[in-house]
Amino acid sequence: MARITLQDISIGDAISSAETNTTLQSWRDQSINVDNENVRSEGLHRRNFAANAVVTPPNSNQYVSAPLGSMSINSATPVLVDIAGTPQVIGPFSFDLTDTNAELLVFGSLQYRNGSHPVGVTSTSAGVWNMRLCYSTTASTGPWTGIDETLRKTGFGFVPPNTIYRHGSISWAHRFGPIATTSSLYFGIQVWEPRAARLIKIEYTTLHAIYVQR
Amino acid sequence: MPLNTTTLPDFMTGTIVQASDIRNRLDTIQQFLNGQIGSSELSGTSWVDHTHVISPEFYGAPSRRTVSTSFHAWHRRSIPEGSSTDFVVRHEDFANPAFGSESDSDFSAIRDAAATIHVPPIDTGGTVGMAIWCNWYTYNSEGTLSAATDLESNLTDHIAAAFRIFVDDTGYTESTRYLHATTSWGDEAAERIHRKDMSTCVWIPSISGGPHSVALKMLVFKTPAGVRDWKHVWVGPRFFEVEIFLL
Repeated sequence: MARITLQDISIGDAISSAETNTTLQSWRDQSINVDNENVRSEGLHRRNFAANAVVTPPNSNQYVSAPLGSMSINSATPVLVDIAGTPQVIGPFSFDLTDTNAELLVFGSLQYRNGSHPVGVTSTSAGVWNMRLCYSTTASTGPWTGIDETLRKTGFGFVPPNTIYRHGSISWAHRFGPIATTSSLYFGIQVWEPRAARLIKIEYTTLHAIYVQR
Repeated sequence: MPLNTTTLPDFMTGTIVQASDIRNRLDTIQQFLNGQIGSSELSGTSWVDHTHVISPEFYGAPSRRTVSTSFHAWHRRSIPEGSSTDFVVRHEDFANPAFGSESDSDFSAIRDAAATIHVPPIDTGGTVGMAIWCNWYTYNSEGTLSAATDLESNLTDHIAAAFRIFVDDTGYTESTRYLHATTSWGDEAAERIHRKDMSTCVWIPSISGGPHSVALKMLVFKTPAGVRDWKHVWVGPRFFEVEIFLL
């Protein structure tokens, strides 16, 4: 807190230049330390603050998208979505487990299509595609840990002996945490089909995160 | 305005102190406190928290929005499903481009999935990020159906409509969602199932200050002659939100 110290001047005393200058020096020294204890509540607008006084978000790759291209996936194990050579990965973000005033919000969306089954498919051989958000605390290349609460499954009915073509979209909004404190947090999207029965195409993806400090 | 040896000088030893000397220094201090504290006078250690900034304000219809110091949100939605009066319908008769030939100018806004927003002036060195969300219910009806054996290479025969997020008439291609035509059961070699529920979102890292038009737009594709006619494309219950973050 900026705190000014005034030198007393009483009636009848001779004015001392040294004492008055001490007061002036106190004004000069303390006038550059204005902080929360000098400011009334709800009295300021954000435009009064320079960058050094406001908590800023981490400087990171906050957004990735795929306006062109698609990725065909036919895998029984999770595959990281990578469209036209661009992994759909964002980061690095920082996560502080002890900071109760901060939140990390992750959002994503994609369109899927194809995945048609041939004639003769049955209920036990039909595919169920899994999609979820994942994170890594190591690097943008992984290794990846799935965020189970974001799992989305898209399965399809069928009318044998006809083929079925599918088309749809999925979106996520997820408040991330808690994990151990780290400054190397990355997010991605994984897709897989446990039976590896049929191919699915992933396209028009978006993925972004917002670091909110209260 | 900083207080330094120039703006608030010491009294010189041996010099007669005039009343004006004292008055000038008092005026300087008064001005400093009454509105001339600048950013360079603020402590470099982060200290601003929610108690120092203005509380958020909420506004209802017709333009539902939340306005706070570093976050603004605009919200639009249709009335709940079950009321046909709030559906939006587009007709293939007025369709323009064929699938794959669309441009931003072919799209038109959907009622209750659009908003005109105002982004406050941006501080020097600051940016404003914008997130746009929407989900909606859509399908086509009354069309005739013909089969195509190779679906992947004949998307023109199957994609009835497209949806995309726009900001100031610029479409964000990564937000595109396609509506697959409705199937007709019984006599077709290739049945098709499409999802009626759609969702998309997009993040714009930096948006300029001032007014902006934000919308979910759609277009109906012109069907190839003799292949498929999807007649009407409906958009039912929908939710649309725009958020800006003063970073």
